[in-house]
Amino acid sequence: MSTRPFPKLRPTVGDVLVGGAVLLLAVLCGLWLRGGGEDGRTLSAVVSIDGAEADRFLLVKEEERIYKSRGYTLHIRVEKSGTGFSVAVTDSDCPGKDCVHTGAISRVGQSVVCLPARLSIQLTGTQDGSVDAVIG
Amino acid sequence: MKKMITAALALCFLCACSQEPAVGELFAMDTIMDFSIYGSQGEAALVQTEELIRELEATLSRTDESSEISKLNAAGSARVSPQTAALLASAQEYGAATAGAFDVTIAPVANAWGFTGEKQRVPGQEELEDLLALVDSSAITVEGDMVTLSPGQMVDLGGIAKGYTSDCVEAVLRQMQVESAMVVLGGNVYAHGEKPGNTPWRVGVRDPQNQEAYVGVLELQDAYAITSGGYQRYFEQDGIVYHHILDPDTGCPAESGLLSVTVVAPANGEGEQGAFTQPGNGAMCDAFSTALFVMGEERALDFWRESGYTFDLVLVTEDGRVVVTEGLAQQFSPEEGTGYVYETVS
Repeated sequence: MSTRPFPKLRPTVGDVLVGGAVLLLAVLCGLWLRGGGEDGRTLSAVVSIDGAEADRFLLVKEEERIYKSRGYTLHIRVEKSGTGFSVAVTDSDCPGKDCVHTGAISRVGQSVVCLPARLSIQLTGTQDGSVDAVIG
Repeated sequence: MKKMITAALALCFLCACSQEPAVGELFAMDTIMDFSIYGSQGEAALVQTEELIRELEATLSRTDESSEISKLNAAGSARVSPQTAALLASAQEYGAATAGAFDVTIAPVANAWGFTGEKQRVPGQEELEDLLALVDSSAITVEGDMVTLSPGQMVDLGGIAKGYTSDCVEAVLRQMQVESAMVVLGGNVYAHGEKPGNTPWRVGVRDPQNQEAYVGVLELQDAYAITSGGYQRYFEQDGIVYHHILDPDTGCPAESGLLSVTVVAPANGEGEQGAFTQPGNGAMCDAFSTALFVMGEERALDFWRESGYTFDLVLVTEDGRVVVTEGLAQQFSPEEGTGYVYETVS
């Protein structure tokens, strides 16, 4: 009875190249997912109006921004906070001013909401110990 | 050729691992709602969830003149949908269970304070006493789909409607066989399944005294977590802060020694699918978070021990303690450096 010899199992140069390419892609995908396409160590503020993204910016410098929605004007300030930055609505002409009362936010998952203006500011990115949602 | 197939399969695997959720945000029920729904049904579930919430809002709102609740408040009696009747009956049950600390007939008092409108004020004592005579949810009659209020009464389902909405969202997600989703309805969270990667959802419990910080992090899976706190909505007059959680006994903002109450309960799970979703643990958590804030620490913990309802608590007290009931001991991680003293109670 004749038997066919087992094929050679030693990896070839081609195998190594394909494996390397897959690994590289995996690492790149992981980095892209962690950072949302941005610098994974930096927080981004996403400003939405009526549920649609209206603005997105990195928290890398102190600055002020103004947004208008539904007849209300909100003043937003980015400030240094510890080793990073925080965002707060510093002034608003909305009734109740719950958005101003919320104070500064500086961690992934936190948000400031102005119901009358239907505007939200949410922090995204990656941080140690980041959370998926905040209650309270 | 084999190498190409191997590479293609590996890429497919990577893509599957990196599946992004369908995300949505909407303003409804006087709050903001955020959804992250994973899986192939994500987008469809998002659409169905938004439709559901708009329908519930149109039915249960107190400010929409065409809603069932507005018609009931205006006429004093009305035929309502089985869903609204069931929710009112649940509100009565939770009102009785908490000895009136939760009461949906607080509406005339809340109106007087202006918490539901644009202009807040401090009502006089005489005015409050007159209005408190109307506060008694046991006086509501629910017979089938016919609801009758006592003369002058009004109901406001704001303390239970969002929780009930999360019950309904859970039912939609289960019906559509969604395995993983995070649903945030204002201060209410429903964690559906596990996160992709088979880890629990991490939910920060906000520090009532420092909005930038958490008192701790809850790890949740198939669970509701709902927080009530006086810091969420308030106004100042003559240097005094008046928050929005009213004590049905006094008609004034509750002063119970608590800064926030978080109620956690398991998801409703697969139940019999009827014509509509019955109020479940979402509605319960919502009602109890308000009631237990009013009751204060001692009464809240007695209620947790003795009521027979299945839930756990995170209480943040004015004297700087975070009290966690034993059912959450393994799921709650205190934050370092908050200055609070952490206690687990049984």
